[in-house]
Amino acid sequence: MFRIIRDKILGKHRKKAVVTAEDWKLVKNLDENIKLFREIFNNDDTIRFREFETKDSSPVKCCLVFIDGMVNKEIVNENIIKPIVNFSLKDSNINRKAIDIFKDKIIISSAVKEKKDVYELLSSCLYGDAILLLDGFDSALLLDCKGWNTRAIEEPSSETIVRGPKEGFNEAIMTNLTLIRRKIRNTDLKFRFRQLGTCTKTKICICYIEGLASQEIITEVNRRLDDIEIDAVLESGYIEELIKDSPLSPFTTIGNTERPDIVAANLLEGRVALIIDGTPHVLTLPHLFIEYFQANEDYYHGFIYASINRIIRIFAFFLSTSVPAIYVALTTFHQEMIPTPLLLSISAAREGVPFPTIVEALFMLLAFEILRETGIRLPKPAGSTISFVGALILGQSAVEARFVSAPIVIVTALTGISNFLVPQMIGALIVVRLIFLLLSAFLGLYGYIFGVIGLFIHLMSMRSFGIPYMLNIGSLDMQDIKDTAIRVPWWIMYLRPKLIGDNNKVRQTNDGLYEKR
Amino acid sequence: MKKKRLLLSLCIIIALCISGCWNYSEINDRRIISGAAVDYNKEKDMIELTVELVMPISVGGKMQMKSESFSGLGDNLFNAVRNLISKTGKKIFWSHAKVLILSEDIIKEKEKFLSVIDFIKRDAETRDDMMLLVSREKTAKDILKTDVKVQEIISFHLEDMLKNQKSISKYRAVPLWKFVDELSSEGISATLPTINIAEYNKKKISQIYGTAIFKGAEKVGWLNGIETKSFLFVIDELKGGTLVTVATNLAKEPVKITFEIFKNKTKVKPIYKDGKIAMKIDIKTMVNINEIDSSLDFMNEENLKRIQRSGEDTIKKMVGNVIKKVQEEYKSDIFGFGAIISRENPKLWEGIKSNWEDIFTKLDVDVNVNLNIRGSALRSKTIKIGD
Repeated sequence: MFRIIRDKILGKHRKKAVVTAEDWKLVKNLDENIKLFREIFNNDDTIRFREFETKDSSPVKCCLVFIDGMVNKEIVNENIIKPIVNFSLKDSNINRKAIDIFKDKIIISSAVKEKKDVYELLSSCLYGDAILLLDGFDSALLLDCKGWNTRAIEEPSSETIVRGPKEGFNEAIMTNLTLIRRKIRNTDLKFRFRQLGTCTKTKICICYIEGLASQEIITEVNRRLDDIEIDAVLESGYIEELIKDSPLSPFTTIGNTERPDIVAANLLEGRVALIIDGTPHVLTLPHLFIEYFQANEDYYHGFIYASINRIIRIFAFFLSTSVPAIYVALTTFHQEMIPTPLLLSISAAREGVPFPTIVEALFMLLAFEILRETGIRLPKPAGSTISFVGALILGQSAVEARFVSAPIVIVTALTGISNFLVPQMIGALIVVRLIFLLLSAFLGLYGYIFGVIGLFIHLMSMRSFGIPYMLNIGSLDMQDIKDTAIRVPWWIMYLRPKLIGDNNKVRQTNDGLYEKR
Repeated sequence: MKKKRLLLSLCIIIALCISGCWNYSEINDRRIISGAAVDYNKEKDMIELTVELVMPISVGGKMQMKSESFSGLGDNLFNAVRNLISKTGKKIFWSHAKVLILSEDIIKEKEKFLSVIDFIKRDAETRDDMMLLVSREKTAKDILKTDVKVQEIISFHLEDMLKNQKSISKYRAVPLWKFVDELSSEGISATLPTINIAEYNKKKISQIYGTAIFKGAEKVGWLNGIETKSFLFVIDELKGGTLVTVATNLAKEPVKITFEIFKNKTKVKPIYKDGKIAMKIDIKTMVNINEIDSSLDFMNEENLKRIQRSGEDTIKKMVGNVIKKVQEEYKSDIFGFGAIISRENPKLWEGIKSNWEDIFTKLDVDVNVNLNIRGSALRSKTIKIGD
């Protein structure tokens, strides 16, 4: 169905022929080559062409091509230009091609490659490498001298914790990879690079632990990535939406995090991570429903505290989806189910309110969402204004003016607060809450139950890269539920999660009890 | 495939459209009533329904409750309920009604009475655990118009009284379901607590006290508070309350001792002997000594035994008297002896069912009491009066 829609939309706009790549080739003449690059980088003022020669009497002419700002100037000056300028080919008396001598003897750089392909040269150059063109050769040397400013490694503001490593990913892919590597010092940890985005040529790294991650999942990820044809990948969200299962569901089947320790833990469970250049948000997959309720801190704190927190989060999920719906259902259909004193106080609070309860509820929920969104969008100094206005105008004054009743303010506040206990799910919660609310406003508790059943059918039918989304929800096996609503102590977590870590099940062997399995 | 999809979506749409909970209404579109009283208007041959309306209003953010009584006439209760709308303005909402007070007049009119009970039990809005009361006053609506209000809402006050019956045990709280159950089952007669208006500081206050005894659907008599306590002893519904005994075997003068009842377990067993049925009632009570009106050393085991014996005798006498009174005067098996026999020996019950009333009135009852004094609260001795 989506394919039909896509073809319909693209039909009008697809250009008949994509711009044919010109036949760029290096020749043996330096000036020609420079001219070629000047043509390619026409109208781009950041490109630098630095021409110099070796010390010989009949010097080898060189030209270093790089993009200003993308290279580390110190490396360029000290390790590339300086040695070349000070070197004399005659002195060395070696019977080799000059380009090999340059590569092996002169240039001090961790990565030097000889390339003929102009496209490869260009793409590296655009990523901060320098191209060294030599007179008399139809190939060039590619020198790694990347150097640009990146954000320091900071604590991610989206996932704050009390106990545990405070570092977070930043926008540079290589830094992110080192953060992961530093946690798992193992040769089985694999990083495979890919490139996506026809225009942006964004670097993507598929990261997994060999022998632990399921080969089928890796193959499937690669297959889905192969199918992507998009001009730009600016954030991992692009990829997430393009490759996730159940694309129309509000629930995500791919997790994302800014924390290396979470990624490391996921990798160790047999999951696969996708690291995208230019964003601190790393994707982890497969992602199960229960992961919404898991926080990295759960594993660092004591298991009792962690389990309590888990249960509170799950309860918050219930509150956040159901409180407005149940309130509306009870007050408009099932007044006999409310305890008498509560009924009387609700009745007193609603006296004089002109709108039906459902309208009140919708209005207040909308107001809350507006407040939430402005809170995020607003420049920080103005933030306090919003909370002030929100609390005072919407809370107190609206009640005093008999715009809305006080109970609905409490309901909204409770809903909103519980929202933030499962922060990754906020988007899905809004949808679910609204559906539940409308169902129970029209059909009463019956409708609410209808909605709950629908939600469960939906969740149960979902899969994330072949793994059932609600894995282990119905199980009573200790090893299955060890990391769900409760987090058992580490000394009972013998096994890795079912299906995801099937390749190497045993996480811990205390007595060989589980080795037999 | 297309047909299937159409069918499926049709199913969902129909399910959504034609089902769902019934009767949407906002809370404040209903008049919440906390209790009702049913009277019989003899002149017009109509039922008069009086309801106590709760009107919660919030004044400056604080909730205040006001109550108001409204009366309506009707051929039957449902008519009266609907006729009330012309006075209350909105439909009344029964789900939070706590008590229903019946007047003696309405109970006497058997058909009307049964139709009232039928409506109350049948209607979806009324609760099964609504408490029933019989008014000893002329009309039932007077109860809802007493002056003294411990609570703003009289019906809630009445409910409190009924709920805390276990600490006084001078009346038996009977919810609607229990009344209907007892009314309709064999071998047991129904009872209801009674309510009257007492003077208090020159104001009227309602007071629940005693029991009305039914035989079938007819009211045949009353039990007072003490008798009700004995009645509760027999039916094993006594949960607390006090017990006063006058011990003559302790000192020269009789000593009045008050026990607080903690726990009571009564077992009633039918005994068949020589073709005759007798009931054996074993009462096991745990009490505390709470008040003694003379100085007495009850740490002495001998004394303690005497106190115990005196208490046992008192209970035995109380229970025996009540059973006798009910057997002779009212001839109504409110203790459920018949039900116990039918449970223990259904075959025998089938045989005697038809003339159970006769057998009941002549039933031999053997009461055994076992009083267990657990302690004496905070003091082990009575206070000695010094000079």
